[in-house]
Amino acid sequence: MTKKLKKKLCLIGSFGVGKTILVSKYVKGIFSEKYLSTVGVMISQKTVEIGDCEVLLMVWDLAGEDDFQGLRLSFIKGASGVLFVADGTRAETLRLTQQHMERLGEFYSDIPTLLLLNKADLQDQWDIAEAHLDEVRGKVKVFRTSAKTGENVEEAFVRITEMMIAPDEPTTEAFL
Amino acid sequence: MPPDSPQPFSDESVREGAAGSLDSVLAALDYLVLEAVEDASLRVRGAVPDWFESIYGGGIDVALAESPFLTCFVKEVARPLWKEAPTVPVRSGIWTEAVPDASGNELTELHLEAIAMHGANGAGLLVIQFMGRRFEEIQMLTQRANEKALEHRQLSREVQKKDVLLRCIVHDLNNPLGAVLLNLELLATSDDEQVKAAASLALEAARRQRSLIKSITEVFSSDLSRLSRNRGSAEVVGEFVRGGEYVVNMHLNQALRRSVSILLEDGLTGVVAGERKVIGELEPFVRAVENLVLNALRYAPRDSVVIVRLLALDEGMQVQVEDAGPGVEPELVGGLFDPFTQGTTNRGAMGLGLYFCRMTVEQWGGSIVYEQASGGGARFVFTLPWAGDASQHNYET
Repeated sequence: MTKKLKKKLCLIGSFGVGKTILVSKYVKGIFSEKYLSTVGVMISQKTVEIGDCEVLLMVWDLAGEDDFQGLRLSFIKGASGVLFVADGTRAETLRLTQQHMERLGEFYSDIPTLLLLNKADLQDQWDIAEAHLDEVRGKVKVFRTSAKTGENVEEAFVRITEMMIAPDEPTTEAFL
Repeated sequence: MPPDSPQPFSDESVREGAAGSLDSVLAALDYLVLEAVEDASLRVRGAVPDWFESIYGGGIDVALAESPFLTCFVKEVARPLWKEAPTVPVRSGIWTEAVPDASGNELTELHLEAIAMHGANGAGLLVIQFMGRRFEEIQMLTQRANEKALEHRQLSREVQKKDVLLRCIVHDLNNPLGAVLLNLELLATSDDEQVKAAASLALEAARRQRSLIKSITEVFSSDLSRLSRNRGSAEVVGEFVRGGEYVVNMHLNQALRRSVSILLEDGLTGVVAGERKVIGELEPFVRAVENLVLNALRYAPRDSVVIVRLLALDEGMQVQVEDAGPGVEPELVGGLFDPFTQGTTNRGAMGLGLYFCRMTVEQWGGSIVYEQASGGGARFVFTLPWAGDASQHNYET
């Protein structure tokens, strides 16, 4: 029998790293070069089938903040998973994401997380040193993504959804 | 009471009337007010604004069922708040959700904000505001700020790249020049007078080239970034006076060779308290004054005087460097402090000296201008602000 679940997934990262466009690519299959700043939070939804589960994924795309104090923790309440997003062409966004991960861990240590290093199509502008990446990989699984080419976008969203409904995770309606 | 007198309102009717008016005002402002009732449900208080009616015609239960954000906010924020003693309202922040349009087909984006609070009677209230055009304004401002931040970062990276390139060029120019200078110095000691003369000439040219390279590095390297980072630094007035004396003494011989005198007019010592501070740093200050003095010496006629004048003004410390030369050609005055600007006679190194002065002074919040001296010569004037409260002068009596 198909198990129906509703899960809340949050995207966190600096402004301009491509969170909204990743969601747009995943949920609607649309990519646009135009940068449009998110205000507050934008909510989208998509149904994902994982094994015998039908998961209604509620994607909370949080406005990019460059300091953790600006991030509304109330937006993260009730989340079953978090996708941290950094821009591979701006190393400082990865450093900021690391800070976000540490601070978030203080409040929500049990939530599954992944890190998306976005803009993988811009290899000539890549700004992340391998040593820096190795340091991050020790703490979180990293996906190189490109909303433009679609590289790893579907994979990352499916993977985090799997982690959110993993057998050792509560399969109750975590959202409500 | 006469029969045609207006009937007085009872306290209750006044309250009801006021509440009714307030409800209609709130609805007109696109606010929906909900009240938490005992069975944990929410009921609408007052008028329902048009936007809510058109989107969630079925009422608040439909809204809660269709809005994940509202559901979450009510459960995670509002209800816990209502259980507490009345306290400050909590705003949800703006959220955006896609909702079906009136036909139920196309999705349109809805921008809302909710406030959880207590009413006057302690009841839990939830106020939901339709953001409408205000969202567009906030979005536009956020967008501009973010775009500017990204542009700034991009420019900073370009400057960094340029700086690295400049350092490489300077390094590659300086290395062989060092060897050239060493060998020319050896040749200049030759017993052969012809060789000695030629070596001396070449040595002078090589030294001049080294000086040019130094100037380029000073003007275009990260030195200016360093100044930018230290724009809050300050020195006591006495240090700047000593800096002025140093520059004058350093160039006395050079001036004498041209039959020119240099005079320092110190209008600071004994006028301004010694501990009074001026925004700036000594080393770049000395370089800026030196640039102006060298400039003046280049144009000063024989038997004239170059004056370095230090003054205390209300707005800050002023430095004037004045010569009795021909002054600046009028067509050059407009771009005098731009890089690579040079006069048609007595050309300097590369036209970077005045540009360096301007960048240095402006980084400290000061200004530099050119004016014609009373005798027709050139006078360069720069002013550096006092550190601390500009309204406190601390003049010695």
